[in-house]
Amino acid sequence: MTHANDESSVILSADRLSIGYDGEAVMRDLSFDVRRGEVLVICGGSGCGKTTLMRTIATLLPPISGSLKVSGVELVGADKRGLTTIRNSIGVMFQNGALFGGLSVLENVMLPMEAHRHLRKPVRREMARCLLSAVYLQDAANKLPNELSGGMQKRAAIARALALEPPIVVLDEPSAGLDPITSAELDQLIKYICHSTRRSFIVVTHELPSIFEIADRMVFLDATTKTVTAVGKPQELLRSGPERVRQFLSRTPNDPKKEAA
Amino acid sequence: MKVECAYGMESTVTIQIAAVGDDANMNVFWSTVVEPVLARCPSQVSIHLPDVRPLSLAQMAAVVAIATRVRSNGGTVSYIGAEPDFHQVVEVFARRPEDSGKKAKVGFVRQVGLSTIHTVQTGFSILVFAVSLVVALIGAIRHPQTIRWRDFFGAAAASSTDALPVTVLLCSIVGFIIAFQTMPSFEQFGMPSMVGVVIGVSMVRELGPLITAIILAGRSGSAFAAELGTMTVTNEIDALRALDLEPVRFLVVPRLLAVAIMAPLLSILATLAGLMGGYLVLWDKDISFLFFYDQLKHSLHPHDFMQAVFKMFVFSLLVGSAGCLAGLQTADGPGAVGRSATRAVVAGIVLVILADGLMGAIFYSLGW
Repeated sequence: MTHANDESSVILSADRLSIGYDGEAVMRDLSFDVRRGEVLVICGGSGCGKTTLMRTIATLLPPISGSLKVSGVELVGADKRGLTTIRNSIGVMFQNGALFGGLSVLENVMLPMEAHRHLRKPVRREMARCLLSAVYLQDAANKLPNELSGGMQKRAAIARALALEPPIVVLDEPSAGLDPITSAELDQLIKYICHSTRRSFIVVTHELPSIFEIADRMVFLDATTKTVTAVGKPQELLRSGPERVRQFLSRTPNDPKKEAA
Repeated sequence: MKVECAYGMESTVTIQIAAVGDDANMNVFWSTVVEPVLARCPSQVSIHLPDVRPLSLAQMAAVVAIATRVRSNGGTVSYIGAEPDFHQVVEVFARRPEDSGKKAKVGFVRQVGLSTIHTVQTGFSILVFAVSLVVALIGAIRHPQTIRWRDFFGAAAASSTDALPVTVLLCSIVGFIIAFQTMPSFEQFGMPSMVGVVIGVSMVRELGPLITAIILAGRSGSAFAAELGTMTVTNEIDALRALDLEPVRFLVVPRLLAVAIMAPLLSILATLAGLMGGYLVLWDKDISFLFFYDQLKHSLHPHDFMQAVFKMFVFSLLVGSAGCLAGLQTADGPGAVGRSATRAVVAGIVLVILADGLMGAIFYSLGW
């Protein structure tokens, strides 16, 4: 995917960002940016703070210090209007889909439009149908979320995340719990939507096939150093990245002798 | 969105979509252009696309709605000012379900049949639960070491000490109200002291256990349903079965034993509170506590107290069973646990009042 390089304007930037819970930092001094129309993968081992970073970007957790700018608006110390601007700029898909169980799939996708757009119902419905078509869920529009498989729920959640046409879409572990074929289909879908709509995707995952398939660039979070260890293209990092990143990308287990020493 | 819509020949329509606009303009575009085109369903449509790419979702929805409708009627759509692959882009958004997606209506006879089957299945599941509960209780009594005592003490505390303040408060107020309401009538006959008999009989034989049981249904019944319902939704019940641990024995028995033991004790305290509440009105009429006590002693017999404790024992079993059964029968979906809790409370209260009526009739016929 070369379009990311063509459009290199930054839509999200983190500078010496510290994130965590109740004032206690989980990760420190995070510095990276997201460009328009690229897929940026945030990866790292279990418990390294990927989901914490995702929740911070999604404005669900306040940053502790540093700077996080989304569409030019500073999140740290943002007032209500600033938060609303940021929230409207970001669509979020949670790990389990987080679809509203009492609403049909179509209603789930229409819900953000009802709240934030002033469009007539037939327009909203047609827009929601278009999104469901794009994620291959046209036949599931009237079903309830619990009638869908895990992969279908995630696709429905992606459709809902796209409902307000945000410039940034954040996906938390989209491939988790899916079989390889469904996972590959989801990767293709993310690439297609990113390419065709020129949106930026931030994908939190540690699934290696997905990383190599979809990532224009990746940010590696290290649980040991509690910060960003590397930013770059996965293939380049696999070849010449820091040792820990190469170990992660080549799926090499820790050496027990080294650890003992 | 600025829109220009020119109608050519009767079966040919040309639509021009100009620059991206706000929602209000999109609404106007939809009602003045899209809907008339959908209604007329022309055989040929030319859509002039704006220069800005990609199209907004609202623009794409309009294009897709028209294209889908026209093509479904055998018409043709052409896009002017579009990239060569624009047809394929439209196809991505234009997939529609093959059927209407509406569920077929269920006929009356079929509906009656389905309801009957559902009722029979529910009855059968209650029967299965009751039998497995009796078996599990017998097993637990024979082998007390198999009872999960941590669950037992948790449920015991929840249904006794935790429930004590509210139960005592409500029963004392009810006793006070009964005395207050009956006092004028007895005063008319010059027998205000007889109010003590009314309070004694009504609180000990009836209202003490009944109010305690209703509070138990609201607190413990719903709590059991919510706990077990959450465990059902999160597959913990399936995990127990997979580990060859019977959920009824593992989860229901300790809870049921706890309420069956603690609820009668709670009921005794609640009854005493009701009597004290009633005595407040008598005290206001200068009737001494010793006189009140003497009246209670003459109007109540030991079997009245035994009857109350027995009733409360039965009530607690019914409320506990209804709560646990509702929890174990929790379905999928977001409101399932809430519905189970509601079902537990309603079923608990209904069962308690039915049982109260039945036992009242039996005790009366036995002359107790």
